Amino acid sequence: MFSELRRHPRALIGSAIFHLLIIAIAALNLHFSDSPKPAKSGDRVETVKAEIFDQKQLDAVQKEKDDLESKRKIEQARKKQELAQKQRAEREQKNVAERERKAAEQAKKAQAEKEQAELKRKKQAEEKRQLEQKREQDEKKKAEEKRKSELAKQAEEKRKNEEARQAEIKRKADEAKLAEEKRQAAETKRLADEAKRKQEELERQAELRRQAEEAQRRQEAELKARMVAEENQRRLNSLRNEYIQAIAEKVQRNWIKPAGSGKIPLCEVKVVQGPGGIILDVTFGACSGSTQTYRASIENAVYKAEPLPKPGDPALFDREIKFLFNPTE
Amino acid sequence: MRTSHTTTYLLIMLLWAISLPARAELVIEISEGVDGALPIAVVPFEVTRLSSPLPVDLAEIISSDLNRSGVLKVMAVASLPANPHYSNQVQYPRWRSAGQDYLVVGRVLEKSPGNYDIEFQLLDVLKQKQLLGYSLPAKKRKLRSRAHEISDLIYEKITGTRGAFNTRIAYVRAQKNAARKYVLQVADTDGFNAQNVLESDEPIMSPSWSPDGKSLAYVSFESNRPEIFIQHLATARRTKVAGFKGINSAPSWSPDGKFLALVLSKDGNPEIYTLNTTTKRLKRLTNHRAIDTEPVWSRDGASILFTSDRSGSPQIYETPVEGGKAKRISFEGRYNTDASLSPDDQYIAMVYGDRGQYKIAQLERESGNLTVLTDGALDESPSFSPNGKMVLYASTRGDSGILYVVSIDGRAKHKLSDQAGDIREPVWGPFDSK
Repeated sequence: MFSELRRHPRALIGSAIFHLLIIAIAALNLHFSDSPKPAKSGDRVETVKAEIFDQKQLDAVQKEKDDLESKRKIEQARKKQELAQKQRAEREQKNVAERERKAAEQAKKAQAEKEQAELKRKKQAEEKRQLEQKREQDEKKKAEEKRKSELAKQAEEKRKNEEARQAEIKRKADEAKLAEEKRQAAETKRLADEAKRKQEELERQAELRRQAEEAQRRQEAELKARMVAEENQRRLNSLRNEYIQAIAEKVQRNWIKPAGSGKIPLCEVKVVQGPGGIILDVTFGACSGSTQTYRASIENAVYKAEPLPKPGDPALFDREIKFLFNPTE
Repeated sequence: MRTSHTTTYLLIMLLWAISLPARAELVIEISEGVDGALPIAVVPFEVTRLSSPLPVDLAEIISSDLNRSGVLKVMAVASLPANPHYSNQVQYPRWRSAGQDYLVVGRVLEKSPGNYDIEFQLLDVLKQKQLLGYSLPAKKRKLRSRAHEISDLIYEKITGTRGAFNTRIAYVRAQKNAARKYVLQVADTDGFNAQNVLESDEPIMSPSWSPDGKSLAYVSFESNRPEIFIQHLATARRTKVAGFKGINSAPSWSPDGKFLALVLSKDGNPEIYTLNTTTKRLKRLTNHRAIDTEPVWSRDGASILFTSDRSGSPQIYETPVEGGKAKRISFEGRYNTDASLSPDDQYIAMVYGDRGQYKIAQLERESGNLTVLTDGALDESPSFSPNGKMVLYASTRGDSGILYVVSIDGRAKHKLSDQAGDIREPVWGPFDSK
């Protein structure tokens, strides 16, 4: 429709001007229709003059005045009544004139109304025609607009479809991309896991190897410690024998043995020594058949061997020593 | 699995074996010593505060006694490292260095002229403590006796055995060129302080101590035949208890002092009899054609040991006092005579003849072990000390007999001092014989 319009701009402008003229005429017609106005009367109206006195004068003359007043009032009322009758008569006169005038006026008015109605009917017909024309134009315009809208709608739809398609494509592309990313991520993770697993395996192997080495080292250390302990024990045993020998020799050197008659007693003697080999106590155990002299000789021998020899290793020191005095003769 | 178990087991055994010796106590066997006596030093007693010198050297007497015991060996005076008289003056390390186990210090205090207090202390050098401390009053003439008493106290303290130094011995001394040729004497155990019991021109033999130590029985030839007398020492009163025909010899007191065992040949052959010294009743114990002599009572009084050659050679026999068959005691050697019984009846000291040599031997009755104690060529008359630790005997050197004391271990042999003439038949008195 617009394209049509664009093709005939003069027709459009002409149409527009024509319409506007019609509208202006219609408006003027409406203004010309006058309403009736009341006619102005020429009757005069009496005016009462009033004077103002001072109070004192007033009071003095009040009564008189009042009397006057009342007289005046009565007069006034009479006058007023007369006036009112006069006015009522005038008003009735007037009303009759009025009614006559109004009747004339109404006849004139009816004529005018009749003419007015005719005019109005013509105007209405014109308006109706114009309205019809306008309706047709509107419909045409509407149809055009509808067509245009339809086209736009179609275009819009097409655009939307395109957009949807594009969106679908994009979505699919995104999905594919995402899937690819996921796949890649999974692959990366798998590779990482694999690498980690391998690393862990390596570490586990290394740990096993380390443990095995540790175990071996420990075993070797234990073996070595045992060998050292054994060697130490051998050394201690050797030193112990030396220690015993040294004590025995020193005691024997100091043992002045009284010759007993008959059998030689075997005596067990417990000796308690203190640090440095000093003798703290000498106690006789089994010593049957011995004389006091014999026991004294043993005890003296132990005391004379004081300080008892020191062991080669302090660990060998023993507070208690059991002596067996068992001379062979 | 099994190997593992075995290994574990072996390991445990090994550890056990290693740890075992460390926990065992030290056991040390002493298999030899230096044969000898316990060393003791006796410092000369302080006598400087006396009005006049003592007639005797107490320390010397004590030292001599202790040496004779054989159990103790006294340090020579010249070697003493110091001369303390009180324990608080003693520097123990010096005595220890000098090799002494014991030390005796003492001093003599004069209460009045001739009256003394002998104070002494026995000290343990090794333990550095006093073992004994006494103050003994003594008159001048009793000083020797007191010294022997001190010896006894020291000896007993150390050995646990009662000392027998303060006892007496009896013996017969034959003197040439003397008014009386034969003298029966009693003396201290060191030979000093001899006193005559009987003087005679004729032989005196076989003295025997009464158990109370107050009397001696002996054989005297004063009437030109052997007769047995009992003489009270303090009063010199004597009694002839046996003067039978033939031999009256070898008296020996019973432990209760009521009987004498003796040898009589009144019935032809020398036999062993017992004599009740009160009732004079005789009882014959042996009846053998061989010679039976030298009877000696056992200490329990139940039997009598004697010498007999009934087996062809002289041997020791034992016969019950109540009568019965005699049994032979000695078997080793061809000559065993003159028995002396130890106080516990366990040992017999006797003369043991071996290839012409006569020595003193000790026979342990239970085992029959014989120990020769002396090395003389002609030793005789052994007699046990009352504590059984020493044996007194006579040894003939040249033509004279000399008194010796030997410890029962045979180690210590000491000649008694102050001997002149020919001394025979010594006999050691009982504890009460002082």
